[in-house]
Amino acid sequence: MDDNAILDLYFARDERGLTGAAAKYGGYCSAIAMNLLGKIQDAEECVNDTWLGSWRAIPPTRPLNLRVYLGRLCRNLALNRLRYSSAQKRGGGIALLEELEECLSGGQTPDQAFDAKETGAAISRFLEGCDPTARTLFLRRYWYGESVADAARFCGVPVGTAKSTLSRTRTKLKEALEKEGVCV
Amino acid sequence: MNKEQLFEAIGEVDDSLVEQASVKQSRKGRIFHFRPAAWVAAAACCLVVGTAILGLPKKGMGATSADTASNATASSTQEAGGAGPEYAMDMVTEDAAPGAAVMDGSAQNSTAKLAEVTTQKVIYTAELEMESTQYEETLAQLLAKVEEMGGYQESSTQGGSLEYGTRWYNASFRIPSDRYEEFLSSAQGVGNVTWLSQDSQDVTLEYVDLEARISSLETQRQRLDELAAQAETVEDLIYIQGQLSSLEYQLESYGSQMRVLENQVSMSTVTVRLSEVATITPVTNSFASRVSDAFTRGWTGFLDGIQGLILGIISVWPVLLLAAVLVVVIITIRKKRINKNSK
Repeated sequence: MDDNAILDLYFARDERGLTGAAAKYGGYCSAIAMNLLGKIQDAEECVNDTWLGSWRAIPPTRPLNLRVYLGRLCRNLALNRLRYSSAQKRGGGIALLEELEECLSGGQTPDQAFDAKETGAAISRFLEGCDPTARTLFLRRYWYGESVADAARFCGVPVGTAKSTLSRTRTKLKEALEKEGVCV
Repeated sequence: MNKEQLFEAIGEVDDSLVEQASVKQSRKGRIFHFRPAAWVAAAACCLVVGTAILGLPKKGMGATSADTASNATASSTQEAGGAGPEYAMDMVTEDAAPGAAVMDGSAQNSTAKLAEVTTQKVIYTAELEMESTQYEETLAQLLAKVEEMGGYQESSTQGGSLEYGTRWYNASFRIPSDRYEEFLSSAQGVGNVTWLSQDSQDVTLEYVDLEARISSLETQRQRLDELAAQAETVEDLIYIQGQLSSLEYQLESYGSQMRVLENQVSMSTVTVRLSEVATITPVTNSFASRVSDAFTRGWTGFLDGIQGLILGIISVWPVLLLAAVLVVVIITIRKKRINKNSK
C-alpha cells in the first residue's frame, strides 16, 4: 500500500490504515526494537505501542516520510522501555548508551534547557559534513541500534575499521556540539 | 544533557539522512585514484612484511591468522560496488521476523496441543566463512550448489581487489530446510572453511499457539455468521458486522505472522563469506606442515614484495625519467668543464 493511502486511511480513522502500516513497516520497526531491546517479547510490545502511538498522533500530524516517522516513534518507545528497565536494574542494550556518553563533557548545565529537535538539527549538520561511510556507520549504530558487527557488515568494512571510525566520529561529534554551543 | 537525551536527539536527525543510511552505498570511483607515494610505501611495506614473515614463527590458530591477513589487506583494497541496495532493509526484516511471530499470554492451549504436533518447527541459520585460491571457480561452484539445492540468493556484496588477489564475496542464501544439512556439508567441500557457526531456534510453541488462536477465531467467526443470518434488527446486524470486521483484522494479522514463521522454517538462512587468498590457512598443526607452510608463505610474501617493488618503481617513472635527464645534463656540463680546464 502507498504511504499516502495509508495516511489517508489514518485520517479517515479507518483501521485498515494500521494494518497497512503494520504490513509494510512491521519488519522495519521490529528490527529497530529488537536491536535496542534484545528481547523478543519486549520488542513485540514496543512495536504494538508504536502502532498505538501512531494511531493517536497521526491526525493532526501528517509525516512526510512515514517509514522514518514510525521508526523514530518505535525508537523513542524503545528508549523509554530501556530507561524504565535500567532504573530497575542495569543490563540490556546499555552498551550503545555507554558509547554515546563519550560525546558528553559530563558537566551539568542546568540553566540551558535540553531541546531534542535543536540538538538533532546540530547533529544533522555535523553528519552532513562527514564521510558517507562514517555517517552510515554512525546512523546504523546509533539510530537503528545495530551492533558494531552488523553495522560494519552493512557498510562492507571490517569490524576493526568500523570500531575506530565510530570512535573518531564520536570524538568529532563532541567537538562539533561544543562548537555549536549545544550543552553537552 | 545526558546520554539518553543525546540518543533521543540523534533520533531527531533529518529524515533524508536516515533514509540514506538504510541503503547500502557503493564507493565507486576511488579505484581510479592514483597516488605514486602510496604505491611506493605499499610496495616497501609488502617487501618488508614479506621478508619478515620468512623468519617469523607461526603463532595462533588458522582462523586468527586469516583474520589479521584480511584486516591488513582491507585498508589497501577498494570496493567494487555493493550489489542490490534494495535488499538492504529486507535482510533486517527477515532477521527480525521470528520476533513478530511471538505473542504474549494464552499458552494454556498450546501445551495441550503440542503433543499433537508431529513435526517440530525449527528455524535453522548458519554462518560460514571460507577462503580459496581459485576465487572465481569456487564462487561459481558455490552458486551452483545453491541452485542445485533449490535455494536462492537473498542478498550479496562483493568487493576487494583483483590486482592484489583479495577479492571477497558476502552473501546470504535461503536454502530449503530439508536440504540445509546437505548444502552445508557440500558447501564446505568447495573451499577451505575457517569459521562455521550454526544456530537453530525451536518455534514449535509459537507456531502451535498461532494455530490455536486462528482456529479459535475461525470458530468465533462461524458463530457470528450464524448470528448475522438470524439477526432481526438493523442495529443487531450492524453490531455483528462490527465484531466481524475486527475478527477479520485479527485473523489476517495472525495469518501473516504464520506465513512469516512458515517461510523462516521452510527456508533456512546461510550467510557465506568467501575470500580470495594467496595461500590457504593450514588445517594441520604438525611441525612438518608448519615448516612447509612457513616456506610457502615466505615465498609468496617474497614474490608479493618483489612485485610490489617493481610496480612501485614503475609507478614513479616520471620522477626516474627526470632524474636520468638531470644526471645526463650534469655529466655533460662536467665533461665540458674538464675539457676547458685541460685546455
